[in-house]
Amino acid sequence: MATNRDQSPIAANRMSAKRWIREIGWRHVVLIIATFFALYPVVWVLSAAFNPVDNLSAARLIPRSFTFDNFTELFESDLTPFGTWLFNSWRVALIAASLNVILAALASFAFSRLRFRGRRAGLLSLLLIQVFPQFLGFIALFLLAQQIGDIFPAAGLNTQTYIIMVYLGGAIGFNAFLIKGFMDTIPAELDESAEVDGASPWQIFSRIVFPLSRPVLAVIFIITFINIYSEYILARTLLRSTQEFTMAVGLQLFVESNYSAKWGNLAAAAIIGAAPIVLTFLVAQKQIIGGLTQGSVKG
Amino acid sequence: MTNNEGATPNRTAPSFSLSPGFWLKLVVVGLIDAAFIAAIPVLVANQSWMLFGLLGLNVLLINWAYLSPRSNAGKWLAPGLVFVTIFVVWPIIYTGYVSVTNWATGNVLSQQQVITNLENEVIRVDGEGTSLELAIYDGPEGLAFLARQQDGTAYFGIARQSSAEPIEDALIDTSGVDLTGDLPDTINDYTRLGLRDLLGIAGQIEALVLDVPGGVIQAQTTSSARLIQAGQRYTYDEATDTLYDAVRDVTCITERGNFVCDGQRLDPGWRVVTGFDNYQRIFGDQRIRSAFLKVFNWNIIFAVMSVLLTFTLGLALANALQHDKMRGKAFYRSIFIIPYAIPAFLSTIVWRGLLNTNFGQVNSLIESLGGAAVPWLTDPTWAKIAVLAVNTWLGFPYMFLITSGALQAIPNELKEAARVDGASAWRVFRSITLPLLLVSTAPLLIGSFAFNFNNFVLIFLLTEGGPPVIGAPVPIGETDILISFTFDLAVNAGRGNNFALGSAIVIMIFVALAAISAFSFRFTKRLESIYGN
Repeated sequence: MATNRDQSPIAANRMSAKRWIREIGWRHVVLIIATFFALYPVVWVLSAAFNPVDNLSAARLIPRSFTFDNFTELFESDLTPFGTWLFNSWRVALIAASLNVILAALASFAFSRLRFRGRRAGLLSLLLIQVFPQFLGFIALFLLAQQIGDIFPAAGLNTQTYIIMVYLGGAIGFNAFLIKGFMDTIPAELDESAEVDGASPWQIFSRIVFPLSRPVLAVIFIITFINIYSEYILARTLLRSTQEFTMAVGLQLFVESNYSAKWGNLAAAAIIGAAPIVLTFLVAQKQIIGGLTQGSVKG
Repeated sequence: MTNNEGATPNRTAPSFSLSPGFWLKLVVVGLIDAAFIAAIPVLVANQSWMLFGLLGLNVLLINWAYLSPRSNAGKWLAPGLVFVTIFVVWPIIYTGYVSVTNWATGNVLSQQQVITNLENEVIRVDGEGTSLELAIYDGPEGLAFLARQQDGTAYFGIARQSSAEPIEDALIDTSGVDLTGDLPDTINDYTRLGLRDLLGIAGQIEALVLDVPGGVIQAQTTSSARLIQAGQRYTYDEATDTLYDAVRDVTCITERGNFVCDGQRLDPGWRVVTGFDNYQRIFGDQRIRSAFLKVFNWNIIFAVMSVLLTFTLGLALANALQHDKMRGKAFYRSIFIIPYAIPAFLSTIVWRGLLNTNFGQVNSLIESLGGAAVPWLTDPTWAKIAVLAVNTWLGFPYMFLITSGALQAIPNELKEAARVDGASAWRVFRSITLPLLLVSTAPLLIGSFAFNFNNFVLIFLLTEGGPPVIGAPVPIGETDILISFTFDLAVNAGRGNNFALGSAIVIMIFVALAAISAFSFRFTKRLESIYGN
């Protein structure tokens, strides 16, 4: 607070210990308590994952010895194929998020650069639909999956194809809105000069607007990926067999049955599942948080 | 954006150029059309008219967007639009439709399917108590029966175990064989078994039957049999829309998706639009209303408390960090981001383990400090506290981030002026910082309320809505919110799926969200007019 500095210019460089405690010290106390709160489960997970005693009641904060067994065991069980779940989660999220960003970018280009009837109405309805999160339609999406499965069993209930299509539709509206906002800031003079040179709309999109939008597309891709990766209710509703589960569905059913006994495996699974996301977050902190606080919601 | 106006006067390129792109377009659109046409017979057979319309409309859209020379923005929008209509817009509409039907376990088929199923149901009627003469033969295909009625009609064919599947064409051609007098000793390749042979297998004979048109002939002894006729139990009369039950000799009437015979409902039923029945049940049926209100009540408390707690903690930490001489800002920031960065489903599952009453580390910690174990997830009150505590852990980083940004945006001159006028630090915070902070964060706080209103992952993965409410007429849990209650009703139930009632509750969540959004819009407008520049 600038007021303090103005009141006592002499103390600006050096403070008495008493004054330090009153002005700064308590802040550290509060923040350190909050640090413990924030890290409490994280520390326990790290500890349990490398602890050879695979049991919740026997877990200690600092293990007596160190092991990777909790990790390797995860990939050995046929009943709980964690490797398959992990693969499914990554596959679904990668495919759906990439296609999502591409389709949203195509639509954004139309909204940003073309003039057509129903443009304003289209933009407005995109925003209105976004009021209702897609997962609330889980009953309808379940029934739709059954009906589509009657015609194309490969794209019906309990298939990755269907859930990818569902996720694909889920975020396009809002993402298109965000990307359109960014494309609007790319000067129209660029397209105009390209057009004079004989470029088609497709060439303007693929050679000018799309490459220039890459920063925002990357952020939107990451946020969409994380949301799909963490999605639970639709995955639980639409995927019915162990082999098709994503990690969220598989792990929940895994811990439901044997919580206290498999604590070490669960901790190892949590680390494998969370590490890539946490690292991405820490590396691209500024961009992701900028995107999220602008209105996207993270699951 | 206005500077783009008129920049693109002629963007409709000549559309019938025979470039490779054109052929590619033609092939892709052709494939989509072919897939749709191939699906038509199944759609018609299943009477899926709504799906037919939905898919048909989207196929038309694609054809128009890529093949019509007049389509301009269409080809850019079509791919996204198809997925948004089918998987976002359609589910909203379809949820509305399902909510006015009786679609639930026991009422999932169409009426035609139910009638077909019922009419295929077979009853067996003894043929007038008449006894048939029986002779047993052995031949290349095993044992065969020759059975003769008193009127002289004779049946000859391969017998089977009565528990086995019926044999079609069990009867063997006997033309040229005289079956009017004494029963012959041989028929074709078959030889009649004598008394001595029969003694050995007498026990097995009674388990054998011969399939004849309209029924079976069952052996009673080695020399007599009876005819059991198969009859159709139910007959549907289309003219009166009624069903006749031959066994009970009653006519069943049609009522709300079921045949009702003498006041008894016949299963299965079929899907039918029942109007606002489900909504009336939620508000009119005492059992459902009390469960619904209890869940709704907690849902509101949960969402409000979640926003309050995360906002308070986030703001307190942002405030604590907000000092020119603070060191380690970057360190604290990185730490506070971690709970936000971990996917919520993973941290919730971990918290569930930590809060386990018997084995969890939280209770170990409390016990090592001399306290007693707390039933975090099994006691009604503690479960609510646990849910809120974990949600505070999950949500405070977001509030920390947005309030940090908002605090920095508040001009120092305002605070200084207040200090000069003699206001205390608390007074400055309450009268200047907080109101200004609320103006800039109000839409995000309302967004957070809407998010927590439907925070399924937290509730379901931490407590599964439990512990169960004891004595509740409809199974609900103490920490159930509307969406987890709906999930149990519609998808997760051990007692069957009630899609219709679940959809009615989802529609009410929609209404609540629409109200929250409308309020958010007006609220922020009002705040801006009060505090805004």
